[in-house]
Amino acid sequence: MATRKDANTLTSSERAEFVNAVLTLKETGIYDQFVLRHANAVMDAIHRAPAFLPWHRRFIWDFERELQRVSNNPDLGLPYWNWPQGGENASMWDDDLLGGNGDQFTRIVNSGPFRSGEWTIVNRSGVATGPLRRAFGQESWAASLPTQQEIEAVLAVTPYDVLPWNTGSDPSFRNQLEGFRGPNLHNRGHGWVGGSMLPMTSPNDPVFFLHHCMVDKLWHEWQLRHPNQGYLPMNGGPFGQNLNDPMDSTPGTPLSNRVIDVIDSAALEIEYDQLLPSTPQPDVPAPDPQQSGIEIPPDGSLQGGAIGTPGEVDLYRFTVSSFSQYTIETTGDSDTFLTLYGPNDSSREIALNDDGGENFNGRIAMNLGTGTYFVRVRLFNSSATGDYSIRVTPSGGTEIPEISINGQPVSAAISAQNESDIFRFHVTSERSYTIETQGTTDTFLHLFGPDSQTTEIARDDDSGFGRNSRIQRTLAAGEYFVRVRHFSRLGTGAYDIRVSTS
Amino acid sequence: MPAHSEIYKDCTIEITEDDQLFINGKMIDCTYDTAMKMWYSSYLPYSQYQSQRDLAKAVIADTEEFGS
Repeated sequence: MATRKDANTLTSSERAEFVNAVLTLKETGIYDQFVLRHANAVMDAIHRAPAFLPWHRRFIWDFERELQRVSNNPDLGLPYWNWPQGGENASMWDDDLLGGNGDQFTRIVNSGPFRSGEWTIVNRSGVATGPLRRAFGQESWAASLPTQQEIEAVLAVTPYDVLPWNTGSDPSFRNQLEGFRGPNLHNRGHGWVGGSMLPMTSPNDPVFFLHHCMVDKLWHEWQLRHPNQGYLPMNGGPFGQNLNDPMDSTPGTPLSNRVIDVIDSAALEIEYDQLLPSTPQPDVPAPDPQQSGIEIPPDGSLQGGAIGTPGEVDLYRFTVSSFSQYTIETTGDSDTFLTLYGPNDSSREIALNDDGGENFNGRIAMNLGTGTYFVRVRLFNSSATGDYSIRVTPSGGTEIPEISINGQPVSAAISAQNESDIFRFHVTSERSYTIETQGTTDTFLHLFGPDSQTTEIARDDDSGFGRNSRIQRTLAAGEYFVRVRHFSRLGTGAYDIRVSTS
Repeated sequence: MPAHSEIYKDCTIEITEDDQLFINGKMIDCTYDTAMKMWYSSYLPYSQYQSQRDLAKAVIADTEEFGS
C-alpha cells in the first residue's frame, strides 16, 4: 500500500522517483490531461460546494495511480504539503523536488525540474503558453500559510456542510477547509504560491497535487475525529453534490464516479505517514492473526450470529480448496457491513460491502482462489445491536476455463474490485511458453504449477505490450494455473489471454 | 456603449450596464456572490473581488488567456 508522506521528509531517491514520474507524465501528455480535466470542469460543481472535497480526492487519486504506473511502483505515494512547515525555506522547495519561488519581476520559475525551458504550462484549450510562475506570499489575502492552530480550529468544525451548500454555508467543515469561511486554508495555499496556482489551470504547477494531498489528509483526519458525521447533503442538494450523485468531469473507471465511492479513504487504499496527535487511528484494527474466527463451511449453510454489544465485530473464516466464485452474505433484519480478508492473511483486505444483499445486508460475490479467508461482520450503525445469519456459498461451478496452447485468445474481464480470474493450460512437452494478456486493462499475472494452484512460480505486471503482463518460461509437463487480476485492487476491465509456444 | 472601459496591461476591459464583463472582446463569466458580497469568476476559483474592475485586472494578470 502506498503511503503519502510529508514532502519535506522524502529521501533523495523518493524525490527523484516522484519528479521522474511527473516528468514522464508530462512527456506523454497525460499530465496536461489532468490540467484540462480540472480547468474545464464546471467551476461551481467542484469548488464552492460540498463535492469540493470528494472531487479533488478522486482527482489526486487518479493522478497518484498514474505516478505508480509510470514508475512501476505501486507503493509510490503522493507527497503532501505540510503547510505549517512548508514555507519558502522548506526543503520541499529545493531544486531536487519542486524548485523554488519565481523571479521577483517576471515570476518565472528558473530553478528545479519544473523551471523555464524544462516545463511549459497550458491554457484551458491545452495550448502551451509559457513557463511556470510562482510568487510566494505576494497576494494580499494570502501573505502567509495556514498555521497548525488554524488547522486544528477547522478540524473541530461540524457538520460536514450545510445549506445553502455554497460559500455561504456556515457552520461547515467543507467551507472552512476550502477557505470561504474561517481562517482560509485551501484557497490561501493557492494564493500563497500565486502565479500559475491562481487560475483554474492551477494543476499546471505540480505543487497543486501536494497541496490537495494536504487538503485530503485533513478531510481524512476530520472523518476519523468525527466518525458519526457523514457527508452532506445525502440528497436534496444541487445535482452533483449529493452523496450518490456522479461528480462532474469524473471518469467512471476504474471506479464509479459518485461522491460515495470516495468517502472511505481505506477503501481507496489511502494511507498517510502520520496523523495529528489529536486524531484517532483509523477504524477497528484488522483481525489478530492469532484469532482464527469461527469456521463456517463454504457450502451455503446458514450460521447464526449476533452483535450483542454496540461496536462488536464478529470474525469468521472459511477455506477454499479449489477456485470458484463464492458469495459471502448475511441475512436477517440487521444492517450489516462485511469485510473480507485473505487468502491466508487476516490483515489483507480484499473486499467490503454494506447493502449489497437483501434488505440492508452485506453481500460479497467474487472469484476466490485456494486458501483461507476471513470475514468481519459488524453493524453499519456502531451504536446498534442485532441478530443475523451468515453463509458462504460457492456458485458458478468449479470448472476452471482452459486455454489451448497456440489456440485462440480467451476473452475475459475483471468485473469487480479485487476480483481475480483463474485459467488452466496443460503442457505435454517441456519447452519455452509465453503466457500473456492483451487489451487496454492494466493486468497482473501469477503463474502456478505444475499440478498445483498454490505453488507460484512466476508473476508479472507490465512485460507485455502497454500495460499488459507477459510471462515467458520453460515449463515441464503438467497442468498450470494462471491468475489474472487488475494491477490495482480497485480496478476493473476486459482483457484477452493466450498461451503460446515461444 | 459599455458602462466602463479601460486599458490594463495592454488589454481592454469593458463592463456593460447589465454587468457583463469583456476582456479584449471576450466575455468573461463573473458572478456576484451574495454570501460573500464579492465578485468571482470561473477563471479564478480561489479568490473574489470587491468590483468587476478588480476581477478583470486579476484575470488579466493571473490567467493564461491574458497573462504576460
